[in-house]
Amino acid sequence: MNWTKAILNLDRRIIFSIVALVVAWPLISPLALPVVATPEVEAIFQGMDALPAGSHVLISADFDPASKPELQPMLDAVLQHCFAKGIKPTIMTLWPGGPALIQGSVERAAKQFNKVNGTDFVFLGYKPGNAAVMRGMVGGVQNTYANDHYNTPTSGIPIFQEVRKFADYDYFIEIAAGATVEPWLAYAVEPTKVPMGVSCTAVSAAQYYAFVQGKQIVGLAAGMKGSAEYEFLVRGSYSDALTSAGVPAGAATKGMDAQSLVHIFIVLSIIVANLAYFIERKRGPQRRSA
Amino acid sequence: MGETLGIWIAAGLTLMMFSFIYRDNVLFKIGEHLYLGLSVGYFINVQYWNTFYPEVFSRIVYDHNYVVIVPAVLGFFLLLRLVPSLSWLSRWSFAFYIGGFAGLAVPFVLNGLLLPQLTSTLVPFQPATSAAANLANINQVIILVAVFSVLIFFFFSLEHKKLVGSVSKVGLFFLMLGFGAAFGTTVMARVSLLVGRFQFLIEDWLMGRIFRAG
Repeated sequence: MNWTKAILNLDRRIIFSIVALVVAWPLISPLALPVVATPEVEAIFQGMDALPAGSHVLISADFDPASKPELQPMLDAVLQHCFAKGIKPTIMTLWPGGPALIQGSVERAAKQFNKVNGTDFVFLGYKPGNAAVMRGMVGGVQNTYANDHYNTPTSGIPIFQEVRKFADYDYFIEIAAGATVEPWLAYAVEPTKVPMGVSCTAVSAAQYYAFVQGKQIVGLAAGMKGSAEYEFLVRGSYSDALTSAGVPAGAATKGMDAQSLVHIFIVLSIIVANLAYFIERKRGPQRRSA
Repeated sequence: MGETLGIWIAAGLTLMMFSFIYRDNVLFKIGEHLYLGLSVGYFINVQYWNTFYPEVFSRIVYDHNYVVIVPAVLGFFLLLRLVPSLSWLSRWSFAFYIGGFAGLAVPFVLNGLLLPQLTSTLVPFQPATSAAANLANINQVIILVAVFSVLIFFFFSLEHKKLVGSVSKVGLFFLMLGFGAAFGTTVMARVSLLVGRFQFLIEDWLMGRIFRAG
């Protein structure tokens, strides 16, 4: 059997095994490939970094465990950025599978930076009814969320003496695993003109670049790569604060070595398989069967 | 102890799901059924405590807000789709929901999505005073050509021949570029999920529990 036939008849389990090796190798022995921030991610970072200490940021973490590797590192990095800079985040989610995951991120970051619930941050938890919740937030946070995630009445939470409605927030970060970016834009961001940065899964990134081009959103962090870029920017600017808080290296940055190697393998596989296909096709059916 | 047990269960279930890569087998089936059962149970629990209890039960029983009965009954009608003789009642709920939501969505979507996107598609050209301005102008031409040709591609009232056919082919080219980008990012997303699982298996399970324990 010549090499072209061998490639075209390759058992898919061999390909899976190679992918597994390519993913596992850099996780066991990191290559520390460089991470370079794209202008779209840098714009989100700069938008947040320009805010003075004491500003308020709303983070809608609309994802669940299915997109954890791509989006939870972004939430972690954004929270680290907020706490290192003295910004007060309000965190909420529109995804029923999200609260436990998001609670973990919020409590971990708060513990690392010694932040107090209710004064330095608020976790509102999950609320069903996407568009209704978004419009509700525009009308008033306390009308929409009577209690936070820990069942504390929002009327008694100090942060809500400073922010009462969506328009009072200085910045809005949407971390989206699904189709919540457009509704947030339509129902809350466009009517109030609060600057919005978006982090999304890589699957949906292509459709959101139009909003960057149209300057409807400040920037876009796509998938694990976008999260790694944000981690890189936060670590670059707040290295001392992160070190003293004992924040370990970001999960997305660690995963990017494996991601890059798998991409190289996929691209090479596509080139080699297409080459083999066209060589076989040129040979014709008689010679192929001979 | 609890965390260690959780990590061992999660690692076992991950390997059970990965076993499908070799071939369909009983371990994969067990993992699949566990996942479905747990997900449904979890979501029923979350929806009950986050929606039904605070928004319906508490409001009626503790706040004596009986108006809530109306949407609650409409919600119950949706479940009647499971009863063929009463399934027609679900149409009332759908009519109310679709009518109300369309009324809410139309003005906001027009003002918040459609009009801003139209505006950013038809941006005036910049004076050609710098390389950046020239590049922005070229970008604007590409956007205009792409939008126009893709719209022609989906315009079916004219036969796609001669000029219309040529323009729709340009539209097809841009569509293929879009699909290619979407497919590329889809591969990237799926690889990220694989990397996430391997990170868990290697860092939390192998390094964190097995080799550390050893």
